[in-house]
Amino acid sequence: MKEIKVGTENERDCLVTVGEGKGVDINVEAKVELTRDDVVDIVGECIDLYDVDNITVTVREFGSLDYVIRARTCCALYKFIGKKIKEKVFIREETQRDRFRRSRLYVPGNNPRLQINAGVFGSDCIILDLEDSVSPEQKEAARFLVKEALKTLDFEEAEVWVRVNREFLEEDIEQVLVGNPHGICLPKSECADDIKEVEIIIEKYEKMYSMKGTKLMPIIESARGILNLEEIAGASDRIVALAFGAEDFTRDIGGDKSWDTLLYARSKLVTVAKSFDIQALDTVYSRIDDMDGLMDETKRIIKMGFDGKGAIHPEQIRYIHECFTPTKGEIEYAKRVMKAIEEAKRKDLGVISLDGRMIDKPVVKRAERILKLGGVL
Amino acid sequence: MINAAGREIPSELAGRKLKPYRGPFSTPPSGRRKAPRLKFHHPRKGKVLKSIREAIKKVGLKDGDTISFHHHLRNGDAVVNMVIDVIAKMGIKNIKLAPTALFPVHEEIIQHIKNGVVTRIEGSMNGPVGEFVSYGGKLSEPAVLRSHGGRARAAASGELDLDVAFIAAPVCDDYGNCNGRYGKSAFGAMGYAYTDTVYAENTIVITDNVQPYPVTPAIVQQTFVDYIVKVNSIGDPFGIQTGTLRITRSPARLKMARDAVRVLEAAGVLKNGISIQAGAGGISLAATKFVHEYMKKHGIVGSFVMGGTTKYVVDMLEEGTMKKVLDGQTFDLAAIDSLRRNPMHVEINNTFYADIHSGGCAVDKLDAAFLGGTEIDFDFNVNVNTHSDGFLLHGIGGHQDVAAGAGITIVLMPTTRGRIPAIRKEVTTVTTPGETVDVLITERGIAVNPRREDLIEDLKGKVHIVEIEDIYRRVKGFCKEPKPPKLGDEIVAIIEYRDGTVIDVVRNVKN
Repeated sequence: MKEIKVGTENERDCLVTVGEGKGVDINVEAKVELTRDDVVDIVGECIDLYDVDNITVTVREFGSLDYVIRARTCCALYKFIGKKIKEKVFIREETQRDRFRRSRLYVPGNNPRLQINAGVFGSDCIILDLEDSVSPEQKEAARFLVKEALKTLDFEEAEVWVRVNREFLEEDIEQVLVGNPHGICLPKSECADDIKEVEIIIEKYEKMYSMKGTKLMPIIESARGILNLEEIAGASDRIVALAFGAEDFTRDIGGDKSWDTLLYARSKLVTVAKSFDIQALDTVYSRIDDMDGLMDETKRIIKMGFDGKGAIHPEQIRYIHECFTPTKGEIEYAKRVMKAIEEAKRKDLGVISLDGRMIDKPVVKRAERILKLGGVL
Repeated sequence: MINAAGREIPSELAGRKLKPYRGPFSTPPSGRRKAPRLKFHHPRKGKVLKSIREAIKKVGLKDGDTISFHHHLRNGDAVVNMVIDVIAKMGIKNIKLAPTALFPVHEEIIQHIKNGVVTRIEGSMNGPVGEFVSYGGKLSEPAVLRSHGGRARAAASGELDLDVAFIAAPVCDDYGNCNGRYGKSAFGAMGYAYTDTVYAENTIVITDNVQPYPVTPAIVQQTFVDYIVKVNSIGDPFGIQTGTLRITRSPARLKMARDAVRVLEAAGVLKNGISIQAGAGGISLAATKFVHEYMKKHGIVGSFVMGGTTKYVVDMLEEGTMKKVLDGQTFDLAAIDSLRRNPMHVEINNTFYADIHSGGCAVDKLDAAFLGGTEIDFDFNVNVNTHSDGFLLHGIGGHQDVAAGAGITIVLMPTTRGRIPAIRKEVTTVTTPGETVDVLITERGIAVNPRREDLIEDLKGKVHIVEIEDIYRRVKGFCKEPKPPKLGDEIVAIIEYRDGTVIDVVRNVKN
């Protein structure tokens, strides 16, 4: 007899088993007996949604929130009957192209425990990951979980992205776009065609779901990707940032992760990104216990012109933000720049100078950015 | 009647007139301290007896009497089970058990409740005994739960009339002087034991380590001790250090602990002379550690740190961020060692610590405190006793006392536990009244009790404050409130406030 199992026995997860039965049979083993009926109700809703009969659904629950139970149950039902259903699409406001992306926290797509609080650490972006942090046999479960997480969890002020699999572009995008993330991260982006491919899929499902504005963040993590940066950056208006992935890149070129090894790739990525007026985001810092190393590297990439750094642990976020926070002196100078501009406008002066230096457009732009980063604007 | 915490309380229960809670400092006491009988001991007679049975016989324990225990051996305690077993074998029934707290290791008491040896309980019940009692119909009278200070107060007033105090001691001399610091079963401070011996009619020390006279310091004193019984072991040292003592590793909880430091900094209390209460929960431990690091970095020296004493508390003393430790309960080996050798690590008893009906207690001198809880409502009332399904699973500890005494009481509580949200319109049980709780820190924001306008003013512009209702609403989006538990009409426990009034009652959970 066919039996489908989805989920795990980990804390804050649940394990859902679906098999054949007579009528509809729902068995729930709840961590707290009081909430058992609520779990039964959610499972019942899922069964109604998939419109199945003669089925037995067994849920063992380990403190999992409703969204987890819904995701696990729906995934199991989908696998059991092999039929997709039409779902209500989540409504989310489009994001701003030029918002801050100082930090982006990667969160494993199939781990509820790590997802629930992802929004509380103040990272500018959250990237729900379907790719490297999810094993091949759990890809389907992760898609459902990420979709439900997008629809349910409170990500506070963060921009939410999904990193999809190159091998399962359509499967991933079809599911997660129901949750309407702000954007899609495309790993191993190597050429314009890669971007076109994902763009066509996004367009197809945006149309189907009557939504728009999904952004793109190509992740460049190969020699070829670095070589083709220009065509990648120019391949789609949806692109708001280029992200660098040092782990795969070093493997690809056969080098190490030292500063010197990566300097060319970083320099090129920043230059190309800026020439297309999009953001440049640096790779993650993988030694989670070394905050000094993280800060050192972050300060360096900021000096190069990068706009953000990846984080694989929530603790890293505040250190990254500290690096991006301007000094008091920088803020004071920026304030004076803005004041000089206003004064010049009032007096209708064409040329503006401060301390004997001419203030041109880039100086103003930089001052504005510093005031924003410093929380003044 | 409805008390000042808005809870429905019967005016009379099991023959006892209940006084409703009226406010943290609104019910002044009357009457006098209880005086136990005068004692007489002939200098040529020994106190050391061969067995627990003999000691029980000598003190004349009988049906209906009240016996007490301290819980310094925590989940490693062997003495409660040992003594009740003897009492049962002697055919004594209808005992009122008054431990300062029971732990999962005491599960076998359930048997003695079923067979009528123990019919009443006054004391905290952590775990299985509490769960058992929650179903109702188990005890002849509702259990009575008191805070650490409330327990000392009730012993002193005679409301908790102790016939025999059994004192587990890891070291004792042949005249009854004992402390908790030495021997294979050492547990550190013995603060809960002292008050019981002062007010009990009879005191029996049970020890696995008799040393030559005099054992000093004499925390429990010869003047109160009637008999001493030597046994092989009073407990398992591994269980003595309970598992709550690991600092949290959860990033969300670490963030909360850091926020606690930010709140204290913004409130302007992180300065020389500060005194704090350190909790023993994982988040409180982290907060204590971060306060220590902050003080060290800024060269601040505080006056004292109190509470469950751990390595983190000892670090403050040894690295000079705190001048003294006031220790009522010692949680790990580093702290036991410090208590032995550092004169600035001072042992205190529960009357000194937290008795509101005294000339003043140490909690009054706290600038700040970190506390936990299972639920909190919009009025900042905190539940520490029951879970959202109605089961009585935890004692009060010093929660009420510390909250009432401290200048700034910070409750650190994650917004969800499994499928259950912690912020509620109404808590299952009110343990600590909201008017004594100042700040709630969750992983999703910091809320300040609107009663503390001064504190809100101090924090303005420095710490982002949100309304507790806002956090509630946001959490509701992904974690619904469960339906209320199915409760019956039987009151299974009375939650006393520290002054002896009743702040809430616990009703039976229907099966």
